[in-house]
Amino acid sequence: MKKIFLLLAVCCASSFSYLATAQTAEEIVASYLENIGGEEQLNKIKNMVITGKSQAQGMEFPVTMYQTADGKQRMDLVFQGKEITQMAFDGEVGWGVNFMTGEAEKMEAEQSKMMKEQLTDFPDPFLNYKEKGYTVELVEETELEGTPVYKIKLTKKPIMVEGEELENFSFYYFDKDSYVTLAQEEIAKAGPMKGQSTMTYTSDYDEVAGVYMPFSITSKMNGTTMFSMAIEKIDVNTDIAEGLFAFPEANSEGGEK
Amino acid sequence: MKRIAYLFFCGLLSWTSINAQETPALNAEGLFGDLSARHIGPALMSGRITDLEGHPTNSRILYAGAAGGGVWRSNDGGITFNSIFDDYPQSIGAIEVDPTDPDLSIWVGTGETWTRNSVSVGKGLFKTTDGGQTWKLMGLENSERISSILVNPNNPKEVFVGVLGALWGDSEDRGVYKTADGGQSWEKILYTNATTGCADLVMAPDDPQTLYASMWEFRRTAWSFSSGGQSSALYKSTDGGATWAKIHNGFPEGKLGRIAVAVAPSNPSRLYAVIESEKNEDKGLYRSDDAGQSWEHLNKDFELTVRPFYFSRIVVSPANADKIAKAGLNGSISEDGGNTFRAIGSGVHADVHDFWFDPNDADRMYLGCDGGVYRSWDGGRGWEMVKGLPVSQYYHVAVDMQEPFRIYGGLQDNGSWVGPSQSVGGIEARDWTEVGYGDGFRVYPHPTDPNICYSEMQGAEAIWRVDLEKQQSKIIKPYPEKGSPDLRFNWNTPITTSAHQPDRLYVGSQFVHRSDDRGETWKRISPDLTTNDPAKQNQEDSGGLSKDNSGAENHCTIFTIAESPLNEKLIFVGTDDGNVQRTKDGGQSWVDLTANFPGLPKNTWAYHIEPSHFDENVVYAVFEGHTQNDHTPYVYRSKDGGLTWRSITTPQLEGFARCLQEDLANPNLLYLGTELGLYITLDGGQNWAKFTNNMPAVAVHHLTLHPRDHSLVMATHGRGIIIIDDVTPLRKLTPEMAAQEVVFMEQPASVIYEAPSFGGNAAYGEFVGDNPSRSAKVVYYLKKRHIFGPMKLEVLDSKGEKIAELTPGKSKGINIVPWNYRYRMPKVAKAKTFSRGGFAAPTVPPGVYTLRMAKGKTTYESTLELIADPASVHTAEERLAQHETAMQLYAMNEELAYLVDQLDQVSAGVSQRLEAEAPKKLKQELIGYQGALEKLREGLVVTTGDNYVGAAAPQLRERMGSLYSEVVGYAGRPSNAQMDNLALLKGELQQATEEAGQLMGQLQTLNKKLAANGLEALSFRSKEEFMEADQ
Repeated sequence: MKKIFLLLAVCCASSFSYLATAQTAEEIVASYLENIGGEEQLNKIKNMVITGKSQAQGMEFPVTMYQTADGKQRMDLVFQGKEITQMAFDGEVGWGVNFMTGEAEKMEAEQSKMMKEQLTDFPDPFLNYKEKGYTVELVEETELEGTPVYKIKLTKKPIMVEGEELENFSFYYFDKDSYVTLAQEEIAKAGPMKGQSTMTYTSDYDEVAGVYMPFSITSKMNGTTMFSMAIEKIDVNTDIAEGLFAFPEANSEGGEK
Repeated sequence: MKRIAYLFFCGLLSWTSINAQETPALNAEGLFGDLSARHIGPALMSGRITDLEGHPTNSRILYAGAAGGGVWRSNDGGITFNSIFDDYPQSIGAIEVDPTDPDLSIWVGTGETWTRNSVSVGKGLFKTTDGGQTWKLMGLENSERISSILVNPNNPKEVFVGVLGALWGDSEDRGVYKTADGGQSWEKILYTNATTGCADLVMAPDDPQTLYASMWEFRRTAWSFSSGGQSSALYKSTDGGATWAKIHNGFPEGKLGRIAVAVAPSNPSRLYAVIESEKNEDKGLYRSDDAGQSWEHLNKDFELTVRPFYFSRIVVSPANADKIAKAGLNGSISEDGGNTFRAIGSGVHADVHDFWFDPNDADRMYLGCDGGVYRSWDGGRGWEMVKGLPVSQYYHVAVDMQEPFRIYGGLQDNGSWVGPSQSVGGIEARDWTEVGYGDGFRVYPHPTDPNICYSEMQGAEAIWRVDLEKQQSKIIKPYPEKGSPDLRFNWNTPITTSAHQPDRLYVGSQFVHRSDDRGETWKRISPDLTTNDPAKQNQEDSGGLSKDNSGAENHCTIFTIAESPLNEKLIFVGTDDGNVQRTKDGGQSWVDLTANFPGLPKNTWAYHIEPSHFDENVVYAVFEGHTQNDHTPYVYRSKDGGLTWRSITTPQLEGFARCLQEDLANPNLLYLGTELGLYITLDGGQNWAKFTNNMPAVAVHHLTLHPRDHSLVMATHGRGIIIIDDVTPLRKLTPEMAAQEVVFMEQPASVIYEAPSFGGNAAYGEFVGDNPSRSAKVVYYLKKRHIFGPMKLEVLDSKGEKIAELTPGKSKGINIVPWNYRYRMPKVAKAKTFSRGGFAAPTVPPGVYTLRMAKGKTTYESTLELIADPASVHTAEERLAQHETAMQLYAMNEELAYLVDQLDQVSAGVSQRLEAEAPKKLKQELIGYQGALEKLREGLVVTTGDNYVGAAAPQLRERMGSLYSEVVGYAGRPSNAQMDNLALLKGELQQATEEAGQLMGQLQTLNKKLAANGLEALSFRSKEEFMEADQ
């Protein structure tokens, strides 16, 4: 049903686009949320498990991502039959497995703190964005690789990076026809690439639990692909073991499952 | 009905008649998709920096504005820099960090104010409020050159801007401007006249309403420069610019030129002014200790008086009013309030333009010059260069036919260079070779001798023939013949080689000179082809108050010489004073075509002529009018050898045009370099689209197309060499194609490159130019962006088996998907650590592969051919031996992986059974059996240690993985030792297989016993299941 609605919206938008009047950022975000499934559906999502195949640096490897509404997350990669937790966060502490030793190591405290401050982005940063204290701004109506888009700036609360308080914002490109996001532009907040942006393109949208979600994700920097992921399955509101996200104090190779 | 049919017929008729003349229109706008530019710098010589600016409290942040290369920010105190202003005019006049919001709000005034002959043009004032991610034009669009921006530290909505303005003509868009509303509206608060602009504007540190403005009367023409006049003056306002008064008490008498002014941040009464005046004895540094009421002349050292138009900047240390730094040929520093100066040491590039003092650390300072940014940690005594700023200003570019091809070109104040289009690990500083001193311009490789190139320095002071191999250079310029007038050479003298005679060389003065012996002897083959206007030949009087006869204003000279690639006797010449001349007989007779260009203002600089590669009657001409204060692009095409010309510009073009390259395969495809970037037409100039994929809005001074590699190579005047690696997809874009949903664009056979092994030694912070992709490319056109539903792209071998799954591009227009022509990595046995073999993938053999795209419900197919590297040092048999060995080891790795999986599965099953209720005897038997499984496993894979120095002794998997990855890593025949090792490992694998087989053979009896005790049988998965599974 949602699918039909979305297609209808696409058709209407494209055939009557000349009637469209200037839209505010709020209206664009509202249309986006409505078109991908509506806030009610989005609010029902309590957790997600995303599985797929990733490609980076000429390698292909299976990936599983876990995310929960209370901000816990974990990303596991499989290399040579071994599961490696690339990154996990239990709401307080972030950690990952060192590739040399196979042992879990904690992230720098500042990074954990940064992740904690972004707890509320699940399942979509725009969901209830006002309550979260975020603001949106229409930067411009432009084109993304030839496709007309709205460029929206999403500003969250400032964060501490490298000992300095930094504004925390990113840009989203919404398709003018369907209002879904075609890309997200994140700005590196630390390291030598600080201030440089990474474009993450999303496509192959399909319906999961009444919500349109992208099944293809590709990150590029200056036009060069850094990482891509073809998503095979998205499970919503599934059972996830509690201990999955916690830093494995004693054992190695990630937490229990 | 009849009437309708008739109308329809008429309509059709008129449509076809229009289109009979023209190729069908097709705008490339929005179709470039994945086609992207690549930047290779170089940065070893860097380029001109016009303005440096820091952060008021955070010493990690530094901004550098370049003469033609945009704005760069360092977040680490000047170790690394990133470009933050790519989409806007790259010529920077002033950068100002808003003191009330220094992390996010930055103002940039475009248009360099160091008004040399080759200076670029700005297009207004910009501001970011998000630290440089997005920029907004804040007005002053016609300002051309912005010298200063000052934000009131108590009220950021109040901003003062000094506008120097137009260089090449009168303009009322200059003076001092003020906004009270953050830039929504501007008021001109100080204006002298249409020839006088604001060269410097400073604010008192204790009072934002106290301003000092230096006004400068100046003008440049293509043949002269004038600095100074009655209108130059220094003004002061104490009421935020409402009223102004001249503060000249103690100033020199007579006309004044450019004045630099600074106020000490630590003492508002202390002012410094560096003054250009009529008499040499009163030029130089003046100081005021009473906020400008009176001035004292302190110093007229060379560094204080040299070239005021280029060096009028003085900077005071934030904490010490007596420490000042003056821009200059080498720059100089005073520690005693300007009484005496020390020179800035050697090792710093000449022509210093600006300084930045760290407000928190008196020893830390930075300078910007014609050779980039330098850092000092000892108060300006020792300096080190920033090696990561690729803001080199090329004038010209040429390419040769080496593999990889090399790139030749000359730069503003930074010599002439040759470098490779790719290099192992990226193009580093050490890959470049200098082939000329001074200012470099045109450099050409000898068409057939790879060891020879020709280069030059300004005004043909030298033209060199360089032997690259023996590293010798000989000056080969032509001299005046007996009875002939002096030769007039342009600053950027045309030299060019011939497509027909390899040893031929042309040089242009006011005459065309030709040599057929690599420059040893010269023959004049034309009369004076310029207007030879004596009024434009008084360069020794040029400069105004400070004589400046560098050769930069030489005029009435030939600027471009173009021999037809189809006919060596057909030569076109363009001159800087607007003439276009043609010979059809190799120079015996010349025809002046100048009058044939409709709508072209008189004397507009004939910048570039491009005779067609397809038809000798077709020729393109590009004129550049900015030295007549005219920013219109002028691009013409003639189809009758130059008798009649038609403009092929459209309003889509922005910025004046300099150069055009005709495509070498598709005559409707043209590339145009303008002051603000690259434009491309697919329909012979009916539509132009700006190319912006990783291509900044930088001035493109020249461009060329590589005939073998199809690379468009651009000489940018501020961002070095920029390349679009393969333009072939553009050649294939047609209106018919554009109408279809999905079209594969077939590619020529792709090479399986045999890459070298070592390289990549650049230090942190050093610029490394990108290499082109070595992957095979899957290229297709999409009519619309793919957003909904699955889209897949697979590669199949000749047996129809899927060997790779690629990440398809989804963008509208051209999509380019790289394929690394390798199989997947083998599935290796699971163990405690990683096996090298698990990260190595064998190259697929040459052949034709099928590409299959599934998009929605439709499947599209195409093919891709791979061929062996023509540069390979291996025979086909050797490569085959490598491939077969690699695949054999690949299979062995997977065989072992499955074998170990069986052991793992059964062993895990045993552990489960052991937890259940069972007779002790059975349990003991199970324990014994598991022990045997584990014992075998321990000999096959490592079960302890880590991936670094804690690694365990290698077992079969590790040894097999190593040999496999070593064989995969070399494209030729494996060594005898490797083959012996393979035989050994094969034997071990065989034995392991047998042992495992025996153990698995025991399962039947064991399972019976388990069944008797109500326990489930032990089992393992099939090989197919194992290969499918992730773990």
